[in-house]
Amino acid sequence: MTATTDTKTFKPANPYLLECKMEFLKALRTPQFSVPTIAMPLIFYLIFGVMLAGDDGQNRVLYLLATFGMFGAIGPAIFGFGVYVATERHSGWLDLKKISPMPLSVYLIAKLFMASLFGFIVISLLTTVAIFIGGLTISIQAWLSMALIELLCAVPFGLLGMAIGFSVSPQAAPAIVNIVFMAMSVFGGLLMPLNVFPDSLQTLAWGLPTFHAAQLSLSVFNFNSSDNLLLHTLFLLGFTVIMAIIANIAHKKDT
Amino acid sequence: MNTPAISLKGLQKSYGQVNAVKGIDLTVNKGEFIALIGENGAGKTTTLAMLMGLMTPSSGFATILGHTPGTKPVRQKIGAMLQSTELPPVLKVHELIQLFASYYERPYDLANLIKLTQLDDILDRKYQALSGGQQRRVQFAIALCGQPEILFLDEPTVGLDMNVRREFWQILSDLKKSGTTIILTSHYLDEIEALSDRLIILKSGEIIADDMTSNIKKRAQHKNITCATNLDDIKLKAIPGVEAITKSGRLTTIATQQENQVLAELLRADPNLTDLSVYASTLEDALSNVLAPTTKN
Repeated sequence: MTATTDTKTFKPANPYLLECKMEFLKALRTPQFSVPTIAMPLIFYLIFGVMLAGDDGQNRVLYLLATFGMFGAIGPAIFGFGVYVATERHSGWLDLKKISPMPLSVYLIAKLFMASLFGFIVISLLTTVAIFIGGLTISIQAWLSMALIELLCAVPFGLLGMAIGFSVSPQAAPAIVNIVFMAMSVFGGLLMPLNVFPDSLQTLAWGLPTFHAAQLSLSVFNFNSSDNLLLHTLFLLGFTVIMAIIANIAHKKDT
Repeated sequence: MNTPAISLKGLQKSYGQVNAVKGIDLTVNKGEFIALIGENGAGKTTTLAMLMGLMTPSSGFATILGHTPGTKPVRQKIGAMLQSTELPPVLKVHELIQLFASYYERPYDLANLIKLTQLDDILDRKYQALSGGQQRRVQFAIALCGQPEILFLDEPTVGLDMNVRREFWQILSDLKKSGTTIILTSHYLDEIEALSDRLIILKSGEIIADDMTSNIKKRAQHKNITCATNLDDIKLKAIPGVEAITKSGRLTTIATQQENQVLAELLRADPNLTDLSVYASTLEDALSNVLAPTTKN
């Protein structure tokens, strides 16, 4: 085979950058992924957070911005890993990559990048709604802290998605991810404040990572119901480690 | 330079109770074109998966170019086209190829690769908008992205029409000339006959034949005489030169290396026979001979 110097159309590229770009394009061009990921938190927030804000308007707009932002950041992480891993290991695309010299980190970082970028877009859109329709005022600094906390907290949910993706068929993956995601979101207090639930369910929430993530996000605005921020952080770190181990086992089992 | 392309010693793979591959010994030299055939479940795909590093053997050793399959140095030097692969449907052809080429230290010059695999006209199309043949061409381009020294092709031409298959054969024989080692599995025996130097037949996880393709074909260096005749097997077998007799429906097929003598004798014994035809054996006949003794179980 010959190697000519004709490289004007194609330059050698960094696999990390290119994989990130392709992962994002792939998600953007798949309406089954991009539309619900962006529209679902936006519509829910518009109804529950802004239109039904009622007397305690400003507080509610801000409180639910913090929890819906968390919901909007977890969505692309859990779906992006869950559904795409299931699809790509079934289609042979992941096998082709494993045969190639691509480091596995390229695959994981690109998916994380895509999920974070989508999460950031959702958080930004929610904030736009909160400011322009909900009349909210929020400092840049507080907003950035919230966005950063939410994107970091979404990481272990990506690992949870990956564990599901390596365990179930691509046909089953969207439904399973949806059930897990919605149940965790509702009972962790992401879609409505926990105090609307009976005591037993409020206690149950302590077992859910979504609850702890929401507490951290809410703490930016002093809305957190418990002061134990260290405990919430440790719970999420533990959840991250366990999910990484389970995802790794599921991956090994699959090969 | 004496490192073999592939070396397998007692390679074994079992899933629970099932032994998919039962101890394969094999050496493939650089530049060889190997065809791997066998019925479904014979262990072809499992063997390939171990060679490409997708599966770890239960026992035994495998080396590719002197290294363990699945390790970085090997992965730089192999390329593969897998059975029934689906690439990301919403990515465009140029995006897929550019992405895959970025994984390799020494990628194929993409302008040349595109010319070789005839993708010029469809570079801006999404994968999902391509025909089956075009999708296979993209998969082939991806297999070649890293200028592989060893190319694994698992049923590469399934579902393609004859013209496309012949173009594909042409590219493969060019690659072979430039020194690429090629491992092909295929159900198309014409393809194997046209391309491969050496033929390995797997059955129930074991190699049952390993020889030059031309030698295996020679094993069936006979002619087939087919006719509808009233003569029974005993009378047919009594004709000098008859090697084997098979019946299907009302037709009898006689294998022989002395077709003239056998024909003359046959017509003398049964002047009323009908539907007579004589044809040379093919690789398919040779393979049915090789596989015959244990096929019916």
